[in-house]
Amino acid sequence: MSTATVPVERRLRLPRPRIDWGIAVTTLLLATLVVVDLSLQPALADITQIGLLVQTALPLLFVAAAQTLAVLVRGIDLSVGGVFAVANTMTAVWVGAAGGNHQLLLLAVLVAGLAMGAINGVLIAGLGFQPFIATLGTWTAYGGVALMILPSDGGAVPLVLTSILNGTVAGIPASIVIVAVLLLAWRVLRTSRFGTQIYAVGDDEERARLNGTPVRRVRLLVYALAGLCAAVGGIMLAGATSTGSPTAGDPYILMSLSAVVIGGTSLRGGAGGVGLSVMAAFSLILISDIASAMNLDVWVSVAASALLLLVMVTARALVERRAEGRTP
Amino acid sequence: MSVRGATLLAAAVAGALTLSSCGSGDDSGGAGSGGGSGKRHEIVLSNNYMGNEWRPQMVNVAKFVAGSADYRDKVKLDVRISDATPAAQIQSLQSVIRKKPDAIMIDAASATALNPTLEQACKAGILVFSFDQVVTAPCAYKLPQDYEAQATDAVNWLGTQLKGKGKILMDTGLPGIPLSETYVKVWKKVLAEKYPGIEVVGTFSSQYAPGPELQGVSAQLARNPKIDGILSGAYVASDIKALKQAGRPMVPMTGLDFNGGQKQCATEKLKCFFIGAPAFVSGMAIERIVKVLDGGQQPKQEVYFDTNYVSEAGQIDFPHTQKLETLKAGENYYPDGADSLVTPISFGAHDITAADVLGK
Repeated sequence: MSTATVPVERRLRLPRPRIDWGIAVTTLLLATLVVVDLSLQPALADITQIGLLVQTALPLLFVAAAQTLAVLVRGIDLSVGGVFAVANTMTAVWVGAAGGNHQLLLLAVLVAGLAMGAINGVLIAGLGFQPFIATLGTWTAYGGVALMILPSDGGAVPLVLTSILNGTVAGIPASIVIVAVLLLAWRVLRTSRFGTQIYAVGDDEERARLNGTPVRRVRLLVYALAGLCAAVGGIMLAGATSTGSPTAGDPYILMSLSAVVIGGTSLRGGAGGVGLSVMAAFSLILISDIASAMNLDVWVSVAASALLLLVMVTARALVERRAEGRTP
Repeated sequence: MSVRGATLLAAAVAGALTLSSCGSGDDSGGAGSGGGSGKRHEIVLSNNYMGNEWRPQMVNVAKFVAGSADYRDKVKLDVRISDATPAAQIQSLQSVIRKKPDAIMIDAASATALNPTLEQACKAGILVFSFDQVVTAPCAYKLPQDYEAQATDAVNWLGTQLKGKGKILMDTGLPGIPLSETYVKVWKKVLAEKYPGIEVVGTFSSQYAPGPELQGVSAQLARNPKIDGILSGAYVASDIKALKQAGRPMVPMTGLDFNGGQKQCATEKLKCFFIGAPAFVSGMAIERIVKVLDGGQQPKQEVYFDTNYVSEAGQIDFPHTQKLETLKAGENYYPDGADSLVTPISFGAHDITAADVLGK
């Protein structure tokens, strides 16, 4: 085709900046909810209050990050609730009761989370179990372990943990700094070779294998990392509440899945990311905060979250359909 | 999606939230009644659960007392129901603390998880009063039940009824909550120490709801051809139904003070023991909060109720530490009342009716 046949207006059209509508919609949603919450609660416009609100969100943010990792490789992790509970109870019982080197023991809790995640990875990547079935089983098993460690709410969390969570770094509440560290860690992972392999496995496992990606190893490591993130979530809740609870993890399973879907990570794998899920998780927390501020019945908050989920899923499906329609 | 589309989407979400406020909150205790000339105490009731029959009745009694002639000019009650998890209740409490009410009365999702947040409320000058599922925060006033004494009296009654011998089913409640942990621990200990001839042949998790109790007991009856007693902390009516459905004879059984089970035990002359845990504790909490806010004295911890009930057929001499009353129609159970009523329904000088408790 010669340039002479191209209409003049097309030849003169400047390249339009590419907008990622997935990120734009999630950001817009979060910004809208922040504005609504601030207008309802002017007292929230204070760095300490924001820090407290973020602190309540931390457990969900980390579990949402864990779930995102599993979904990115076209999987799912129901055991995040169990890993969360084990880490939470370990922190409240073993770490809290031990004198002295709490940091080392907290590290041991993280290793336990990594190990529980790795067990999922072995079941799924090594033995070929369906992620749903494998993690359904380990969720129950890990939940039982949590009940064995701590039969009911209680225990004592080391002071060092609560002090860190309630502290500040250069005047900024630690909870906000922790979120920044999470996002930075994700950024590093995302841009690393391993990050590329995660997306490759989730996008097209066969093609990734042909390209030399160690698919099984990537999957195993992803589930191990998911376990680590869920364990951090459990530790965060222990720090925020100064106590442990053997049943604390279960509500986070579905909430983390909601955050993943609302954020825009594709359940078909290979698209999305932890940053989006973090924004969506904040949105869910803000909906709940707005409902509290307006003194709405609890069902309103639940219904609003469900409505949001439906709206976002529908909107994304429409965008995807439109994008597919454009593909020649 | 265009920018306009994305904006419309966000507006729709915000709009949905705004619209949903039309069915908003709960502000009792003279709200709209005008009230008196003095400043009313702003009290927030923080409750984390409405999924059983006890909690809604507790909330209704609080509204009744706050709106009663003695308190409507003194109290402005704001009821906050959060989701069931400690994290949700913490978030709800933080929103409450920002508004700085005079007092927070709380039925807690966890005995310990809310402590840091409640300490924060105390530091902000807010009076914290916990009841039923109490918290351990030192700054909070507490109106608890004595789980250990209740469980001990219940197991001693059953042990005496069975003369120390027989096969029983045991309710494990809702694993992970302090009430269940205490009940099961006490029951196992007392059975081992005082009634070694009683064998627990099966357990079930009532989850403090009638359905799971019926299902759990039915499953155990199918497995066990002989059952001599049921040691439960929940629904006697479900146990009776399960025994009837299985065509089995009635056995001595324990449970919580719900009117349905009490009516059946009274009319069918069954041997039953009921743990007393009336829902009017919320009204008692309001009275005490007002007393403290007005400068009066209140012990930091006070067991709010120490009476259990036994059916006429179940009367027997047995060791007990709490008070014991025989079921009496109109006093501690209500033949014409709803099965879901937690009894007794009224306390002190109040004249609380079943309709008030059920919010009708």
